[in-house]
Amino acid sequence: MPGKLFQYLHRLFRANEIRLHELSYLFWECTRRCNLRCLHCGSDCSAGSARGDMPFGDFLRAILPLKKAYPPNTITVVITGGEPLLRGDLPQCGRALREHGFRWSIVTNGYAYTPDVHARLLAAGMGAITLSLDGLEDAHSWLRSSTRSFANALKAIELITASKRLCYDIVTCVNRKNINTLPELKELLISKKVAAWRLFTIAPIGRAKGNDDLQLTPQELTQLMDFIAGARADRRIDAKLSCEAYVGAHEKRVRDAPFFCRAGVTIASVLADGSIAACPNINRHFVQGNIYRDSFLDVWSNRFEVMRNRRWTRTGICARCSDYKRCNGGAMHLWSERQDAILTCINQKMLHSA
Amino acid sequence: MKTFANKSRKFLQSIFKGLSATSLAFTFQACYGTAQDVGQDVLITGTVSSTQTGEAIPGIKVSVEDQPQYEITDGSGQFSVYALQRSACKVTFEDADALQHGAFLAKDTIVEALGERIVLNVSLDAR
Ligand code: SF4
Ligand code: SF4
Repeated sequence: MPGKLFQYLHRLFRANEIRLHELSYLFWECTRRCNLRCLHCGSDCSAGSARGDMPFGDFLRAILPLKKAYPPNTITVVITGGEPLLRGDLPQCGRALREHGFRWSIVTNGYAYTPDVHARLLAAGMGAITLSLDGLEDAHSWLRSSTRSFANALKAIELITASKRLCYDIVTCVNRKNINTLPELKELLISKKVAAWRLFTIAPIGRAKGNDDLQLTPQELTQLMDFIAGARADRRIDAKLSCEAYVGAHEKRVRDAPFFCRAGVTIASVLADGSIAACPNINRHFVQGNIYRDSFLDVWSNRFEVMRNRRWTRTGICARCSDYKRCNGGAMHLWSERQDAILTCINQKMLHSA
Repeated sequence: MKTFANKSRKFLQSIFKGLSATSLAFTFQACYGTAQDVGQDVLITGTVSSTQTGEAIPGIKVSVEDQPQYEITDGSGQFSVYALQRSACKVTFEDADALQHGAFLAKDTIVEALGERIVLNVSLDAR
């Protein structure tokens, strides 16, 4: 299909999805506790996080009314944290979600993902999983601040890839310490029979703010795009750039469908303190309500205007951007409470270094 | 307005949702999120009881052939385990707690025509 027609149809598609505003992807930040202390954590969780886990009953009560508006099996509840495996009742939570018709999945660092945990989560109807592997041993251990995390993650990957039931992928946060070892990492993943690999850069938010080792230079960003494009052409693994940013001329090379930030369009979250938000990594200024005060269904149906109508993002560098129509103001997680300029733009960085 | 949006959606989705090299599940994932679960499975539930006494047996391991998941029957002998949807599968019942609730012989059951949910009530012979 000619490029212009494709882009036009994609803009129609985006406008249509915004108009329909149907929830299909619901994050549940079930805990703020974590068993690692990763340098880049967007939610700044810790082992002794002051706030406890959210009682499952509170979450379930909040989302059950969704069944009036949507067939529940069209909604995947993505259980995240913190580290969700720290919750002893995770299989019970998942089983109850399935009993109500919802699908569920987890995002894990893999540290505590043992064969027994794998068996119990599958038995409880888990259908998808995303696991982080942030490089070869040195780079992964550095980012995850743990020497055992690499070996544990590899063992978890073997369990996951052997499962015929799971929709899974492996994610890698690309940074200055691992960018040059991506080709070896790719071979390692292929040797472990990994079919899908998602790569992302690290946003300057949460614990990553101000850590220069984590932010790629413009040249390294282009190197990353070339690497992903090469891996896709190679066809031995389905590599792609995550949804994190519009990347201009690289769009078609590094992902399947054009950039579309769906935060608040088809994605919502319930955070550990009950906040109703879009993606959990978005600035808390954009929180839309709280399950302890508001009806989740009501908030989803009637609020989120700031994310459904993004005209306000035409400010700062986005105001002068010739790609604005295609990008629509970038990723929501890169906007601060001031709403006056996007924190960073991969596309502009690469364009200016070219 | 929404009706028109719904109608044009199918056409537009067919263009933008069928592009992933691995599967439909991967057409969209948020940065820190997972793929969407589009897999097919079956829920196998039931109760395990003793052939001799008719009483429920706790501590029986219920597993599905070629799949890692299993479940141990609870205090009322009940279990529920999700398994990959297939035309048929072998479900195995084994005593997992030694003599704690009596000793029972293992049993295999072949289940056919798996839909979304199957109820399997099984009795085990004492050893
Ligand atoms: S806010 Fe960020 S993570 Fe969420 S959909 Fe938009 S780009 Fe993706
Ligand atoms: S400047 Fe703004 S609109 Fe332009 S590509 Fe970057 S984020 Fe998108």
